[in-house]
Amino acid sequence: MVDYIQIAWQGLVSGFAYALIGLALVMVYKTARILNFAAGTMAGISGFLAHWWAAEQDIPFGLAILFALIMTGAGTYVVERLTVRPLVKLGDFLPIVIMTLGVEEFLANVSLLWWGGTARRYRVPGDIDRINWLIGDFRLNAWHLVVAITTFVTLSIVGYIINQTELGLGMKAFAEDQDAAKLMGIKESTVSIWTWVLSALVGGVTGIVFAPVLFLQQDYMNIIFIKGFVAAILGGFLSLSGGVAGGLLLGELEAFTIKWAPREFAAALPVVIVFIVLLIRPHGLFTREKGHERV
Amino acid sequence: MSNNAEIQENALQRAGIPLPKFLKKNHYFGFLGILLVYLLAGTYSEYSQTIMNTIIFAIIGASLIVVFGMAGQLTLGHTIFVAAGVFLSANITTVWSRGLETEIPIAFGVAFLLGLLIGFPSLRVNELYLALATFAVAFVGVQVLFEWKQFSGGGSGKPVGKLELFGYEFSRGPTLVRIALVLMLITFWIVGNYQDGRTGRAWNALRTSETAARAAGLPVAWLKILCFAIGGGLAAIGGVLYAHTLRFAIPENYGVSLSIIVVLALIIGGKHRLMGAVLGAAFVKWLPELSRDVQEYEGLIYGGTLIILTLIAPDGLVGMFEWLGDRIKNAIPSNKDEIVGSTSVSASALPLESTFLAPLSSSEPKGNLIVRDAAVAFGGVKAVDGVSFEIPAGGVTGLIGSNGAGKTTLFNAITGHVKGATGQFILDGTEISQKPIHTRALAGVGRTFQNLNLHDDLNVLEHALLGLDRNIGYGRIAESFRLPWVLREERKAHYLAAELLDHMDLLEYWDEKVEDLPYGLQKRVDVVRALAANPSILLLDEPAAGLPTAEALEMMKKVQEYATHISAGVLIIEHNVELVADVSDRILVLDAGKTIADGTPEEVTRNEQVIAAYLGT
Repeated sequence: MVDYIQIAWQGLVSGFAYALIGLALVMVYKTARILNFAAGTMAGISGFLAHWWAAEQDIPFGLAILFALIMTGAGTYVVERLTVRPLVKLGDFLPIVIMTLGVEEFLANVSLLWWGGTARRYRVPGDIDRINWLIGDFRLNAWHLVVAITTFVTLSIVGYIINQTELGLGMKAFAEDQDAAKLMGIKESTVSIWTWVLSALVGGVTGIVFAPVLFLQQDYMNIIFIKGFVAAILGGFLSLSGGVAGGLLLGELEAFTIKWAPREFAAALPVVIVFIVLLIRPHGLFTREKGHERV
Repeated sequence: MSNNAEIQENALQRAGIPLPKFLKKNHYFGFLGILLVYLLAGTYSEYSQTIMNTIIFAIIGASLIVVFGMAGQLTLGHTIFVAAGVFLSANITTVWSRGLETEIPIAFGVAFLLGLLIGFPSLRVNELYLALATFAVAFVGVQVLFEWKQFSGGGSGKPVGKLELFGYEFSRGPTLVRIALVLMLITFWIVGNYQDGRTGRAWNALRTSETAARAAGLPVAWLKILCFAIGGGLAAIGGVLYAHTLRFAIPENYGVSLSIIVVLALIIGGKHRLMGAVLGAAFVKWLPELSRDVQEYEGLIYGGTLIILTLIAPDGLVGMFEWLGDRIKNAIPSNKDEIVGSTSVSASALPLESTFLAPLSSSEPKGNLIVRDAAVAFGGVKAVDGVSFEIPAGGVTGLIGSNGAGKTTLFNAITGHVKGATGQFILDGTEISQKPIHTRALAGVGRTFQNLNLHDDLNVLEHALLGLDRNIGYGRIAESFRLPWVLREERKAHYLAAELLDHMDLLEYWDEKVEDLPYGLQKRVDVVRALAANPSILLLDEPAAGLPTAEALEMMKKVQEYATHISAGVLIIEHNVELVADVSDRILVLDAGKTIADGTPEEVTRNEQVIAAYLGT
């Protein structure tokens, strides 16, 4: 029984990462109908910056995280203005997606040149990630607890922003109907950029908090990005809470598959899920189908 | 002048539309280029490796043109096909000890089947989802390969055996380059043939407007899956060559990053042209050769180039060169233009009597449409609420009603463009309810769109040819190799399309891209596409909206003439009551999703209920 709890907890922790990235992806997609392929790499750079500053530049850990998040926000602001904004007026999303691919290729190589291709493991203050508590037979890693708390805090903040602030209102308006929102006098470019920044910050937090769980490697966030995307699909890509739920579900599925199924299958699980969901419920597991094609 | 009369016998020649030929100018240039590399391969053997890589990437690029350039499906999982080619090659050469004659067909076949599978989600999701779904495929594909040690050798990889063809062993280096060139020639030939044929046209159509492509009777679902299968198969050929160049197959080389590089290369080169595949491949493969510094920064340069090109030249390097070429051509004054100008297209005598359109003529009226209890609901709103009527074959019926009366929704229910429509639709005795859009189109339902649904980027002639697609009698395998009857059928279609354009007074614009045409002409293009399909019943959704009445009447007259020529029925939605009364034999009036009147124009315009609901005072 403890075995199952252990696996479930493990799945939940991975699920937090997928949920956060899924949320970040859905946020931008929902408001601007854009998929940001650079999201994973951006999140990875945040994580690298924070831990690299803390461990190699002797900046206090908290300050390093703050700097990293500020850099992420500012960098995203610049990237959106320089690359995405000029293409938005064309009204075709494909060039924008391709643009984010170019950005991802560019940034991935910047980080490769900066930190090299080898995996590193930086220490976190107090070696929290090496503290394990035993509760009966159940083993609880202290850092995993940090991950869980960070996830809840992040989700609460995002929830607050979306439900209580003007930005959130603008995001909802655009998600509902782009044209109507514009007609109501909501400035598309303002809403879009702050959505991007918010999404990048959620990604950044994920990158930072998961770096000690994974090895810090140039592309360590890519796998999380993919799975975050699967989470978003599970949730129907248009529902924030669906994305989060999808992430947690995926984490659990994965944890239990690794336990029982052969490794080849465990590796293919995300794709299998994507295919099945797309074929049976393209609108996601948790949302009802809506809308129709207008001709 | 008497000579001219003879020349002007058919619209095609009069407009100067080039007849499809077996070989075009591009073919000669391409062949010369390949021949040159073939002959020089031995001389510059120190560059063999780079040349080889360029060829491989050009082949992969060409395969991507099929999926992305033509069909418009952004795929980031293309390396899975390359990997299939590489590892099949490694296994066939080492385990079975067979040569290229086995590797290539098997690699093509397996990747083709894989493509059918991977193309499947493209039916259900939009392009954005697809990009990420294929991204996931690429990502996970490598992991599966990594774990499937028997096939891939796991992390340490698998050696590739000897380079053999029918038992003859070849050395690598220049010989391999020559073999690769031959394969490149074949791949380019096949992809080029699609670009010139009906499949390529259909892919272009579905890229630019899926809804319209369906309405034109194109099997969109199959075309989408097919592009992945064919693109995948061709990419696997590149994979076989890659295996022999590298001599060692390692799973981790075929991940997401290669997938992205392949796409970037094609976009940098130009995604709509074979030359773009070559330029893109050359860009990514020769740049690192320049110096060590460049090698270190290559990814940065690719990413940066893509960002800049997407902003300034969306059609890549080829697009830039073509743009430059046009500028130079325009800068040099030529008297050739004047000659072309002076022989502008004169009005034809009677296109409908031309020998090309004559076979379509029919005296047996078609288009008997029976609608029973048609209903469509959006949420709680009943847009169409139990409408029943019958349209006799060969007549013109008007459908009027105030805004929101459900006219367009009724059309969409008949053509299948709206989900969840109930009721029975029977066209000339064939039940078409519950059938997919393109099946109904093939059964004889033709339509135009209220807010124009044309294929940007395609010219007027291509729109007519799209409509004609179902009457073009060659298969896709014949098309791949441009067998003789492909050319014969293409020519026939071109002649026919030209006459039809002539009839609708569009002939002189045949070469214009539709997005450059004025609104009135765009409406005609929409009609031509529908007419070309030889429909039994033509549904026209507000053909006159936005047009001056005279122009609208002129167009309606032409449509009617043609409809009479092929004895098709016409059902027309129109707000201009005068126009409807003028052209229709019969008028149906819809209000709030129900029919409130049905009769001759005189009866209907006098009906009090109609006056109250619609005509007003």
